[in-house]
Amino acid sequence: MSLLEVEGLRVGYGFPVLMGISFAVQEGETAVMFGLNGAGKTTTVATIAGLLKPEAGTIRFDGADITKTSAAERVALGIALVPEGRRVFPELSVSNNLRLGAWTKRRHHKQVEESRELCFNYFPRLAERSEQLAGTLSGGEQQMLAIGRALMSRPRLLLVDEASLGLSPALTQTVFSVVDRINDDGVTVVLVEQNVGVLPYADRALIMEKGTLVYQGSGDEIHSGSIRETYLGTPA
Amino acid sequence: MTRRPSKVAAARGAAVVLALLLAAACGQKSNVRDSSAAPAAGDATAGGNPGGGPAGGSSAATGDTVATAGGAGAAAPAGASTGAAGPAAGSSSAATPGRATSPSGGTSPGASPGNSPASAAGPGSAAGRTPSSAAGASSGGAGGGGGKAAGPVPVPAPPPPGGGDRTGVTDTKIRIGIHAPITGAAPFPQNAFDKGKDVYWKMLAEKGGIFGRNVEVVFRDDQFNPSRAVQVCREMVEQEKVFVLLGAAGSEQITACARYANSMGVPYLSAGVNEDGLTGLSSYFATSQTYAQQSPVLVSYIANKLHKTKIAIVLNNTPALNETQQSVTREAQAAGLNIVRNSRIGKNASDSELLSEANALRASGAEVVYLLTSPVNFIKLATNAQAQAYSPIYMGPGITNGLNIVAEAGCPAIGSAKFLSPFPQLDVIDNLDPDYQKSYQKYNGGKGDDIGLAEWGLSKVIGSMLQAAGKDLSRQSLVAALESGREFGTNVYPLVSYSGSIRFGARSSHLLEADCSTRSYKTIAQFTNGF
Amino acid sequence: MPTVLSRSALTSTAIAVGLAAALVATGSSQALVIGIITGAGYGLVALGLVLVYKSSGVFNFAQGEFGTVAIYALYRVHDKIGVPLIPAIVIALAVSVAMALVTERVVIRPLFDAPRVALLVATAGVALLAISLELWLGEARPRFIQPALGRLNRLSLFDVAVSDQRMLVLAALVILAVVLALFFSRTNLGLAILGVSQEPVATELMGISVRRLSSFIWALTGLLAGIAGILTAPVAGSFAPGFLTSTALIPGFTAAVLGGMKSLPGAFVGGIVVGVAQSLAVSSPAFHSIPGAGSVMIFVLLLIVLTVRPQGLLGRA
Repeated sequence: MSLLEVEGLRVGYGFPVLMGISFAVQEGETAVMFGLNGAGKTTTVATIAGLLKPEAGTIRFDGADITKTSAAERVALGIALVPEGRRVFPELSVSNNLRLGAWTKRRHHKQVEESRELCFNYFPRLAERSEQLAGTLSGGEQQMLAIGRALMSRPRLLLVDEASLGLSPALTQTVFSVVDRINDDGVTVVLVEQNVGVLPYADRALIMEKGTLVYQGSGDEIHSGSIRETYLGTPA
Repeated sequence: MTRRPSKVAAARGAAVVLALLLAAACGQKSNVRDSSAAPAAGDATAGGNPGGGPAGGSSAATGDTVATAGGAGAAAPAGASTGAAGPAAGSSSAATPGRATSPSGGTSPGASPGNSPASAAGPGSAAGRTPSSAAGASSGGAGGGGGKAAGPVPVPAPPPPGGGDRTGVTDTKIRIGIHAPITGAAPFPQNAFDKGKDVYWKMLAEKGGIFGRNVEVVFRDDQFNPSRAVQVCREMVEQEKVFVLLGAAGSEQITACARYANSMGVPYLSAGVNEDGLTGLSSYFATSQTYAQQSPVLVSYIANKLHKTKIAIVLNNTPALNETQQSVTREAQAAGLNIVRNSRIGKNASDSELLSEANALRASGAEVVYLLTSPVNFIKLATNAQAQAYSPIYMGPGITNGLNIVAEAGCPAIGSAKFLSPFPQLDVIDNLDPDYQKSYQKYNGGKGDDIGLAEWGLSKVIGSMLQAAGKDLSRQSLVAALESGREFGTNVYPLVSYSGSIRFGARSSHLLEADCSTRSYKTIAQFTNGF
Repeated sequence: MPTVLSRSALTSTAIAVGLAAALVATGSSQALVIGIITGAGYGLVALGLVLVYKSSGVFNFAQGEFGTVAIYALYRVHDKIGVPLIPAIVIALAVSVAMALVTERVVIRPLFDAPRVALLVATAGVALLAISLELWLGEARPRFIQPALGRLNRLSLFDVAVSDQRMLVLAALVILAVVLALFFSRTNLGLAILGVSQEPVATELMGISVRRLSSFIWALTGLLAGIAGILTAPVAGSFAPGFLTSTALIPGFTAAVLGGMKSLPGAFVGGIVVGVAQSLAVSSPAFHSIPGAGSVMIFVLLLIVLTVRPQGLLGRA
């Protein structure tokens, strides 16, 4: 069954940005959302995370309508967003960033400890720098921290907005492969990307243009087919 | 994050807002006070004599006292009418120095002309307004810019009957204005002054008034702030059209208002404070001893009654009190006292300043502290000293420190503080003037307090002066009566008399002592002039 | 975090010890003691200012008046109605907390996305409103109060007797500064407040309700102000409408700026430094002829910090 169902989602900031898009993501999938700047990708995930209020449409998570719930409540339900630009807490240590990530689980010390270990397992670099202030980390490390911090809430759905932005190709591949591991461990993932390097990891691909969804299909289709040339302008 | 201004910019902005806020905070206090004072004044406006002019015999009040007294001497500076304004910096301010100098040259010879230039600073702002007010107010007499002053030939002190400035006087009423620091100086309760301000006048009215005229009192809060004082005095003169102004307490406020009143030719009487800045004002009269006049009395008490030798002198840090500091220092040295500390504290001293001063006083080993500050500072200083396990005998001249509210708030820290006072305390008033409590009971119900007594005493002095000015009351006839050398006695305030040159004519004071077992003051010497 | 804490604590201690040594060496030991015990009150106000600034980037000009309102509530409830002191203090603190909460709900929240300057002015407006409230509660005259703790000269340092009430203020400042520092470094709630100040959006994404957090912060600052008011008024010996705004807001603001605006230990040290500077100015013979030397000194200090080291003694550049 679908873990996330979006139906007729319409969002604007005084002017329309999302023109009523619909899609679904199955539990355990990795969905990748492509599109140029301004296509509405970030708006879509921000709305799913509850940061923006839609003008119309519904968002269902695990069968329940969550359209009217707040961002904080959605975290408790199991939706975590790694925002564009990472947005780590620069003046807090890595360890405290993670601790804040576990806010919804703060009364379950054992779970928090497990999550922390899991996170350090995915990103050993963070363990090395756990007492360092987040603002002093490199861009790649900050991205790792942002993802790790999102994982601390034990999400069922992880939304990652432009993880590769500003990272070297090698580092990008590292991040993607960790995301793949996270997905393997049972977390449903939606990646917003402009980097086609992510395609090998995609179970489902969504392509956006000017606030509408122009294509959705399996990752394999897009990986090999002419669709890739049509929409992404890059040959296979 | 981006919308936030940088820390520095925000901090600077914050500092500006802070300053505005503080200013507004002060204003806020005053506004509230004002609204309570205004009705008192408002209900009296009916007697307003809108055309003060017509009351005067000749056309628009032929020159007020000041101008006439100035005579030829005044003519030169008064040339302001031509706009030439020789000696002064600007033409608008020319009027004031002109007025200030004219009396010292004319009526009060020998009065220090040295303080005249200073007048430009104080009421300078008042002078700036003078011409316009003269134009606006048809009473004219008050303003008298330059033109009128130059006009009339010198007139001797007693004006011709039927002439003179009768602003504020009708056949049935005389309106007088009083300013006092209701807020800012002492813990006066709300309406403290309202209950007592009319008691004497009501009693007098029943006895027929002053030649058939009853006295109306307009009361304003000067907030212990000289610029505010000038503002309320101007309101009382220009809007309420009071006949005479009275200052209840506060040297800076009294000096500021007296100079304004002088520039407007309005007779001004106050409790005795400083002489600097008031000497030479032809419309000014002190109804009680000045601080300097009280210095020998206090020093003789310290030397001959307390038999103490180590004294400290502490005064509020206002220039008006420089002469007081000099006089008490001089007297103390002459009496062989050892002055172990001589200091000034801010008018609105901080906790830190008061604690530092208390500590320095204790370190100096002073047995007696001569103190001339507002009650608020006195109480805080005494409390801080007590917290330093130091309890000297506080003594001082004054008007407000001997009020019972000070003992109520300041005991036990103030100990057996002793202050001179123009009026006695409640313990002896029934012997000196049984009418006070009787009248208070009759018109207000209950027992009169010492604030009411202060008002009663002042009213009684003014009443006797207005009486002495005769049926044909004008500002000129009042000043003439005061300058005649006649003695005014009330058995409450000290005996006082003036002449053309003597404006600080009170002879004695009462000595009050705090009694912390009853949290009130008692009178330990009446009408004393030394020990 | 522990490294940061210990570094700022170290800096504070170094500054304090250096200053103290210099003063004792130059024979100003009494001014030092007086400065410390008067500066403690400024530090208390500075703590509240720092708390709000740290979490929302707003200079709260109503900070002083939250405290004065508490004094008036105490006066009204204890002196006029006759409620025993301890419950009356609880009520008074509740009043200042309620006032802060109402301010947050009615003024701060609707302006959350407005420029910070608008908030600045809005809090100034709240202060004026509070002064009106105080006039209503207690007339426009100073009220004199005796310290709750009677002993006046239990302790004497450099020949300055330190009354129990002053000790209490100093102790309260130390305890509150330590407790708050621990709160911010050790508790989830404290971290969340720091998080909001750094990345409000990310904080929301952690599942933290930023609005609820804002209410909590203002309640806390109201509590701090109430404590500052109730403790310092008996030391000053009297209070009048606008009491803390006129006596402690500028020094407290200076203390907060001195400490770097975001540092709680900084607010503590800043308060003491301002107190000492002020007491030096009023007691030093060199400044004796300057009226209001104490206030002038505070402004000079503020100017120097803003121009020379705007990030404060303990702030980061």
